Amino acid sequence: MDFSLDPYNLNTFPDIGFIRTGHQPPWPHWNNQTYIKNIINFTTDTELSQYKTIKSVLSDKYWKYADPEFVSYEFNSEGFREKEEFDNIDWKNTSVVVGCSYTMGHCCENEHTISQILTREYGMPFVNGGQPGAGNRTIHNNAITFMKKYNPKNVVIIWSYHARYAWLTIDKDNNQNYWNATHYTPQDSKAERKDAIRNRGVPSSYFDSVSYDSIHQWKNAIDIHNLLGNKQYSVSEKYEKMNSHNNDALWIKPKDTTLYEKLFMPNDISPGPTYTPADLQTPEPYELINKMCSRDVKWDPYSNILHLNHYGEQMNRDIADLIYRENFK
Amino acid sequence: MLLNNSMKDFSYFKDMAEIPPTEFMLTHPSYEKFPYTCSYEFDDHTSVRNKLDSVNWRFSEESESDFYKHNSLGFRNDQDFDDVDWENTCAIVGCSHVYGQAIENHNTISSILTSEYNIPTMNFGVAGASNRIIHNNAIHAMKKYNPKKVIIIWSYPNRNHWTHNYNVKNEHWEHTNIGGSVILTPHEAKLMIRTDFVPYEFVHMDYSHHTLYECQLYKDIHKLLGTVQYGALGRNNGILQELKWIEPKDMTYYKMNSEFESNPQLFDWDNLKHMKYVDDFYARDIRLADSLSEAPRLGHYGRSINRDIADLIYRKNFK
Repeated sequence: MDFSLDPYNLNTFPDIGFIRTGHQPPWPHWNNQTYIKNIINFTTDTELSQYKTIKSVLSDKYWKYADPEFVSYEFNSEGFREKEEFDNIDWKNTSVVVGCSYTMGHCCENEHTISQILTREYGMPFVNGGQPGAGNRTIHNNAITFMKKYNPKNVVIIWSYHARYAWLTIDKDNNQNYWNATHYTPQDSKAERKDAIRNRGVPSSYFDSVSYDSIHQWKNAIDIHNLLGNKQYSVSEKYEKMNSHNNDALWIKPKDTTLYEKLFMPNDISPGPTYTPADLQTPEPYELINKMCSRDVKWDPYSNILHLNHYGEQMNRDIADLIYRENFK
Repeated sequence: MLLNNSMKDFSYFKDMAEIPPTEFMLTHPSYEKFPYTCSYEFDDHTSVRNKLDSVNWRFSEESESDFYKHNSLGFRNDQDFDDVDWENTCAIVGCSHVYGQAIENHNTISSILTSEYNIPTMNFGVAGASNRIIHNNAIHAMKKYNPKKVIIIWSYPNRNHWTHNYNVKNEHWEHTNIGGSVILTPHEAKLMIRTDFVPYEFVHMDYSHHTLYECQLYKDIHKLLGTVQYGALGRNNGILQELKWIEPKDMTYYKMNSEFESNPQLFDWDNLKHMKYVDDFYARDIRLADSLSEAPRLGHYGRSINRDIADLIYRKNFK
C-alpha cells in the first residue's frame, strides 16, 4: 500500500478510467512510456494455436480465414480496437458500443465488427468499445468512463457472461498509482484460483458459476444504464448441456433465421451441424462457416460437430441491424 | 458452491430480464431496544442520562415511544412512498446521519428541508448503511419514484455490504454487512467467509481497495445522473473534517467543539451557554468519558448540524 493513499480519503486515490483486460497488445502505457502503434494478426498465443488447429481441418480453398493475415487488429492507445485516438473523435456525432470480445470482434475482420457495420452500412458513426475477456463489471466501468470522458451521442451495451467478474486493486507503475482489474472466471485453473484468493484478496465465489454479489451488482448496473438512457443487450449464457450459443438467435432476433437454424438446431439430437473431414473439403459447409463463424470456429474430431465460438460476419450484421432498428430507425 | 432449495440458481438463465429486481437495502434495527436503533444507542443514552441527572439536558427523559417513526418500507417518514407527489418531492439518501439516528423526527435533515425551506424531502437514510447501500437505494428510488431531485450524503468509504444470496422463498436478496476487522469476533469473521462467501479482505482488513474503487465509481455514476452529492472525507477525525463539507455560515459551535476537544477543562456543565451548545450540537448519543471532567464528544449530528446541512443543500441547489 502506497502511503500517499489514505483509505479514508477518496481524493487521494486515482480517478477511474477504462479497464483493459490485458489480452490485447500494446500493453498499458502509463505516463512516461511511449505508445507505439502496431498491427497484429493474433492477440494471444492461444488464439494462434487454436487457429493452427482449425486451419489444419478446414479447406484452404473455401475457408475465408485461410490466410492468417485476413484478420488484423489495430488498437488505439486506450487499448480499444480503433484506428483513431478517442481524443480525435467527434463525439457529438459518434456513438459507442461497449462490451466484451463479441463487441471487440475477436477473430473477426475489422470491417465486420458490429461498430464498423453500423458506421459503414447504417451511416451511424460508432466506436468499438469492446474488450476481450471483459466481464460485466468491466463493461459497466467502461460505459461509465466513456460517458464521463467523452459524452458519446449514444451508448449501446452488450453485456457478457454473468460468471465473469473483475476484482480491483491499486497498483503502481512508473510512480503512478492506477486501478488494476484482474478478471476471474470459473474456468481459471486451481493454481490461478489459489493465487488470486490468497495473494490478491479475490472473493472465492468469483470462481463459482454463481456469485450472487456479481449478479446483484450486474442487475444494479442494468438499472443504472436504463436511467442513463443507454440501450442494453446481453449475449446468451453458456449451457453445459447444449450448444453454448443456441439461444443467440433469441436476443439477436435475425430477420432471416435460415443459417441460425442450420447452426444451432440441425436436428433433435446434435447441438451443432456435423461434417466429416471429407465434407469440410467441399464447398457445401462454407456458406454457414464463413458467414456465421469467426476464425476461432471449433470442430470436434470425435463427434464431427461444428461449434460456433465468436460471432462471424452475418451474426454481427444481424446484431447491428437489431441495434439500428430497435433504437435508431 | 452447493445450492440449497432457498437459493436461486443463476447458472442457467436466458437473459438479463430473468434476474430478480433490485430492491431497497435496509439494515435491521434492533427492535429489542426500540425506540432505540441499536443497543449502542440505548447504552450511550442511558449512560449519559445517568451521568447528567443533575444537569438540565434536553434528552434527559426516557425515550418517547414514537421517537422513530417509519413508513411501510422501513424508512423514517410519516408517509408511504406510494402516496408521495414525487414530481415535487426530493429524496435524501445516506446513512445514520441522514436517517437522524439519536435525533427527533422533526430535527432530521429531510424534516428541516421540508418544514423550514419548503422543499418537500423524503428520508431514505439507513442506520449503518455502507456506500453500496446508499448507492443501491438512490438508484432504486430513481427507478421506482423518479424524485424531483436526489441528494446523497455518502458514508465512510471503508464500509461495504456483500450480496450472498437471492432467497427464492422470501423473494429477497440477502446481504452481509462488512464491518471490517474492528468490530468482528474471530468466530463471526470465519462464519462470514465460510457461509456467506464474503471476501477475506472485507472481513480481515479495515478497508479494501475494491470497496474504495466502488465508492469512486458510485460518485462518477451519480455525477452523470445529476445527483447532488456530499460526504465526509476521511476518517472521523473530528469536527474540522465536517466543517470542510458542511461549510456552515455560523462557525461558533464548531469552534467551541474544537476548543473543548483540545482543552476539555474549558468545558463547564454549569455554564448555560455551554449547555445550549450541548443541546444544539449533539444528538442523544453524546459520548462521555467516565468522568464529567472531560468535554462531551460527538456521536451523531445534533439539530444545529442538521440545520447547517439542510442550509448547505438549500443554498447550493435550490436558491
